Amino acid sequence: MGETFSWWGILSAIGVLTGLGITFGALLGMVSERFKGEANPLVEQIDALLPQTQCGQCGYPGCRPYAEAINQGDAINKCPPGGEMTIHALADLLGREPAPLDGEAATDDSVAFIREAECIGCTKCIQACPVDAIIGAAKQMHTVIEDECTGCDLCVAPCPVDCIDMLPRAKPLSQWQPVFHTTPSLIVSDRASARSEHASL
Amino acid sequence: MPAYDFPGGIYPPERKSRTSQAPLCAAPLPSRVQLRLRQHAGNPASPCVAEGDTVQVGQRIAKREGMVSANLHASISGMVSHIDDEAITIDADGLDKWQMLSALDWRTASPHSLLERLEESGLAGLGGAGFPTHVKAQVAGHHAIDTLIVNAAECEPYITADDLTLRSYPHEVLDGAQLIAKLCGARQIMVGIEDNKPQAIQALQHVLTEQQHPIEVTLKVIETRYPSGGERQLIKKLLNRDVPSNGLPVDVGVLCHNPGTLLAALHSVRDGKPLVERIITLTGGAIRHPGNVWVRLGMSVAELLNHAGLSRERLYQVISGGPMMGTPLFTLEMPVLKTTNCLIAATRDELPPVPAESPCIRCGACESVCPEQLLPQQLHWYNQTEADDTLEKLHLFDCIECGACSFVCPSYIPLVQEYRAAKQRIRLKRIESAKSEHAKHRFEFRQARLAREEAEKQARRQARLAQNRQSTTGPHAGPNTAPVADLRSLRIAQTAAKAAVKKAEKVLARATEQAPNQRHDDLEIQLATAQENLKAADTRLAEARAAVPQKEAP
Amino acid sequence: MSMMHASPLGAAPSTAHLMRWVIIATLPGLGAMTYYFGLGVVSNVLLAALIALGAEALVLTLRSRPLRPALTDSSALLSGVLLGASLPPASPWWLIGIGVLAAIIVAKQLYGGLGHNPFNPAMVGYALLLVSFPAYMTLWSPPQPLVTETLWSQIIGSLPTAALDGLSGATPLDAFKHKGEAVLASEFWASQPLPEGTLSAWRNIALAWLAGGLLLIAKRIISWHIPVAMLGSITLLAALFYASDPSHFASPLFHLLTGATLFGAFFIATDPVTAATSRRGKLIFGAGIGVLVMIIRSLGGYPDAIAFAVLLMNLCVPLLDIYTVPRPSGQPKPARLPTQGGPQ
Repeated sequence: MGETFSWWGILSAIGVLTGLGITFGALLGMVSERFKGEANPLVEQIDALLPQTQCGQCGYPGCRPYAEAINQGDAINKCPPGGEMTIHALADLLGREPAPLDGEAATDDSVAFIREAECIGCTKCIQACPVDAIIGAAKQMHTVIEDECTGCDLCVAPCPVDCIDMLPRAKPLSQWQPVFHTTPSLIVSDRASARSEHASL
Repeated sequence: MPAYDFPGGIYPPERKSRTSQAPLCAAPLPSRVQLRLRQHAGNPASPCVAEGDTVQVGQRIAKREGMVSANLHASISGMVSHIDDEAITIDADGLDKWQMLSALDWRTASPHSLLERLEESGLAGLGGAGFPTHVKAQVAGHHAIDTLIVNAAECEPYITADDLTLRSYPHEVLDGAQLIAKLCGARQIMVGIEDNKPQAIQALQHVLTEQQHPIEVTLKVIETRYPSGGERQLIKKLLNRDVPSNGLPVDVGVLCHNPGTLLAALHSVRDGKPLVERIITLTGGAIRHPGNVWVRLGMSVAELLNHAGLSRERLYQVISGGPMMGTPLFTLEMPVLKTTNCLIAATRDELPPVPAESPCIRCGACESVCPEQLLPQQLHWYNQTEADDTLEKLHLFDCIECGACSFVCPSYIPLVQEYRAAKQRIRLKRIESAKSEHAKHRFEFRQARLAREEAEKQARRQARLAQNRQSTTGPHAGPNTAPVADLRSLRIAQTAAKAAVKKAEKVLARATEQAPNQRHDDLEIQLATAQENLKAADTRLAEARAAVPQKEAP
Repeated sequence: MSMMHASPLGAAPSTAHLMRWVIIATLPGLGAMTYYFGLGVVSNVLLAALIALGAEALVLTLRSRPLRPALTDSSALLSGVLLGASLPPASPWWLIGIGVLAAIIVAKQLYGGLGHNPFNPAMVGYALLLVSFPAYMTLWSPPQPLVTETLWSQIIGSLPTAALDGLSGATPLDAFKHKGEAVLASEFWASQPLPEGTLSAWRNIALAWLAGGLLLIAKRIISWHIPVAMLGSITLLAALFYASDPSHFASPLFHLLTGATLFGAFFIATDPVTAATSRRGKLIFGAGIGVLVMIIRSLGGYPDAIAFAVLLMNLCVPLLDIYTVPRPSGQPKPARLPTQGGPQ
C-alpha cells in the first residue's frame, strides 16, 4: 500500500485539474466579454414588454415611468392591461417571482366613446388623455379618435357629465383568429389536461 | 418536358374525369344574389347604391376602396333589397337587362384606357387568391416584366374549370394573354399545362398553329404533379427562376395569370362586360349532374348544387375549392364568389373524415414533399410552444399552404391548419405591437409637449418676477431668489436635444426615401417629440441665463 | 369559415401502418435466427413484446392518457420485438423484463411517449443490459437444432450456473475480439475458433435482415439514406483498417456480415423519432454510426457496438437538425435554428 500511495500523484492530479479549471474558466470569461451582445438598457427592455396603453392603473403616469419604477425595484404585477402574460414576461426578464395581478384583469379590448349630444365641451377629458386621442376645444363638442385610443379609461372619471362610455372595440373579420388547441404530449402537461378532461365530463 | 423542376410534390388521386367530359353549360339565373363586398384580396369595396335602387346586370354597385381593392357589379337585374357591412343583396326581376361598357379594341387602345377598363370591370384573379387584376398589371411601371405565364396547370384534384375554359375558349384566352402581356410589356407568353389535359393542349396547339400572335406564345406541357400550379413552383419549372422569399413573381420579371382571368379580361375589354359570372366546377359523388357551369356571382351554393342534382342524404360535406387547399362549408347558404372555382359535394366514402391525430414521429415525409423546401415537422414542433421568432426564422411565411405535408403525414397532423393559425397569430401580434409602439410615441410626444409648456410657463413667470423686482426695488438690491440653475447641464441637455432632432430628421428622411408611398406617422411623431424637447430645453436655458446674468459674466 | 383538417383524400399510410410494416419486415431475420438458434429466439421476442405492451399500458394509465391509440400504433410492440431480437436466445424472463421496462418506461414514456424520446428505446434497453449483465448478454449458444429441452429452464432462470458454461458460445465478433493481440488473423482463422457452421449461420441471418430492410426501402417505409451511409462508412473504414494491417484487422465483408451490422442499419438506426430528419442530416447520422461502430469494434473494449454507436449519434441529432436545414426555395441562405430549446 505504501508503495502505491503517493502524495505526488495526488497533488499532481489536483494541480492539473485545478489548472485546467482556471484556464477554461478564464477562457470562458474572456469569450463572454469579447462576444458580449449589445443589450438594450434594462428600462428599454421592460418598457418594450409593457402594453403601452398609458393607462396609469399602475399608479405611474404612463408605461415608461412604470418601467423606470420597476427597474428601481417596484413590483411587477401592477399592470392590468398586460395581465398575466406581461407579469410572466417581466418575471422572466428580471429573474423575479411572478406574482398574481394586483387589481382586476382587463376585459376585452375597449375604446372610449363620447355621447356627443351630452358633451359640454369642458376639455377635462382632453387633458386626461395620455395619447392625445381626443379632439375638441373649450365649449365645443369633443370626440375620440378611435384608432388612437388605447382604451385606458382615464378620460371617464374626469368627465363632469358622465358622457363617456367604454365600448368593446370591434374586431375586423380579417383579424379573426382560429381557436386551435395543441396538446403537447409532455409529462408536465399530463395532470392539467387530465384534470380539464375530467372537468369537462 | 422542361429540364427544371421544383422540389417535393405529391401525386394525389385526380378524380377529374367526371367533370372534364361533361359539356360546359350555363346555370339558371338565380332569383336572388348576395354579393360580398370582399371577394378579392385587399380592402372591401364600399357600396355605391342604396336599398331599393333598381340595378341592371353589369352596373357598378360597390366601388373599390384604396389601392388594392376591386369594384363590384350587379350580376342580375333587379332591386337592391339589402345592404350591410358584408354584402349587397339583389332580388332578381327576371328580365336580365344588361348594362355594358363600351367595347374597346385591345390592339389599338392605349395602355391607360386598358388599365382603366380592367379596374372598372372589377377583375380579380379567378384562380383562388383573387388579387385585383389592374393592380397586378400596374406593376409594369415598377418592375421589368419579360414573361407572362398562363397558369393552366390546374394541379388540384377534382377541378376542371381551367381545362374547360381552355377547351371552350382557346382563342379568347390567348387573346386575353396577348392583351395582358402587351399591357405589362412582356416579351413572351408561356402556357404551363399539366399533361392530364390532352384536349385542352390540343385546342391550344390548334389555335397556335392557325393564328399568328404578335407576342410569341410557347406551350409547355408539364408532368402532372401537385402543386405544379403554385406560382412559385410553375415559375421554377418553366423558367428555372426562384421567386425570392417574401417576394412576388414580379421580382423575377414574371406575371402569372389564370386562364379564367384572361378570358374575363378579354370579355371586359372586347365586349365591355364586367366580371359578373364565372366558370365553376360542380363535382362530387353527392350530385347527379357533375360538370362545369357558367354561374352568376352571388348565387347561393345551395341553389347551384340543387340545380346540379344534389342528394342531401348522400352528402357528407361541401368543399369550396379543391380538396387540398379548399375550405369545407359550414352552411350552403353561401354565395358564389369571384374566387370560387370549384364546389365538391362529397360523399363520406369519397372524402372521409380524417383519422385522429397522433404524435409526430419525425419521419420526414412532410419534408420530402414540401415544394418550398421548408421543414414542416420543425414548424409543427415550434408551433406547439408558439415560438414565433423561430417559426419566422424557419420561413413560416414562405409556406404556400399547399397541403402536401398534411397529405403524406402518417400521424394525420393538420399541419397546414396549424401554419395558417400561426401565421394569423403572428400577423395579429405584429399589428398589436405596431399599435402599442404608436401609442408609446404619442405618449412621449404628449409628455414632451407638457414639459415644453411647463418650461415656457416657468420662463414667463420668471420674467414677470424679474420685472416686478426691477420696478420695485431697483436693479442690484436684495438677494437673488431665483433657483440657481446649473447652466452647464442645461447646455448639455440642449445640445443633446438638438442632436436628437437631427437624428429623428435623418431617420425620417431615409425612411421617406426608401418607401415614398408609405406613411411614416411614428417617425413624424418621434421628430415632433424631439422638437418639443428641444424647445423646452431652449426655453429653460434662456430662462436660466436671464435669471443669473451676473453669474455668467466673470 | 372553417379550415381543412389534414388532407381528406386520405391516401397517407398511418403511423401504425408504418410500424406494422417494420414488424413484418423483421420476420425474415427472426425466421433465420430461429432456424439457427432455436425457439429461444421466438420466446425472447414474444416475451419482450408482451412486456412492452404491458409497460406501455401501465404508464399510459398512470398518465391518464387514452390507451387505445397508443397501443394500436404498434410502436411499443416494435420496440419490444427489436429488443427481443437483439438478445441472446432464450434469455431469462427477468433479463428481458429489465431491458424492456427500461426501454419503454425510462427511454420512451418518461420523455413524453411516442415522438418525444431522444434515444432509441430498444437500444437503451440493450445497452443497459449489456453493461449490467455482461455474462448473460454474451450467452450466444452455438447454432443448434430447433428445440432444446433446457429452453424452459433457461427462460425461468433456473438453470444451474454450471450448465451455463456448457451452453455458452461466442459470436464471431466476440471470438475475433478476444483472439489476443499476439495472434495473427490468419492463424486465428486457421485455428478454427468457432464451431462448425457458426460463421455461415451469422452470414445467413445478416442476409435475412438485409432482405427485410430492402423490403422496407421498397415499400418506402424507410429511406435509403441512413442504411447506405452507415454501411458505406463501415465498409470504407473496415477496408482502411484491413489495408493498413490485414494481419490484425478483419475484412470489410466480415464486418458487414457478422454481428448486428445489417440489423442495426435497417431496423435500429432508421427509427425516425431518434434519427436526423433532413436528407443531409440522415447521411451524416448514418455515417457517424458507421464510424463509431468501427472505432469501438476495432479499437474499443466491446466486440459489437451498434447500440452504443446509435445512442451516441442520437445525442447528436438536435445538432444535426440545426446545421443541416435545407435551403428553402428562393432563399439565399439556409434557415438557422436557434441553438437552444430545439426539439428533443
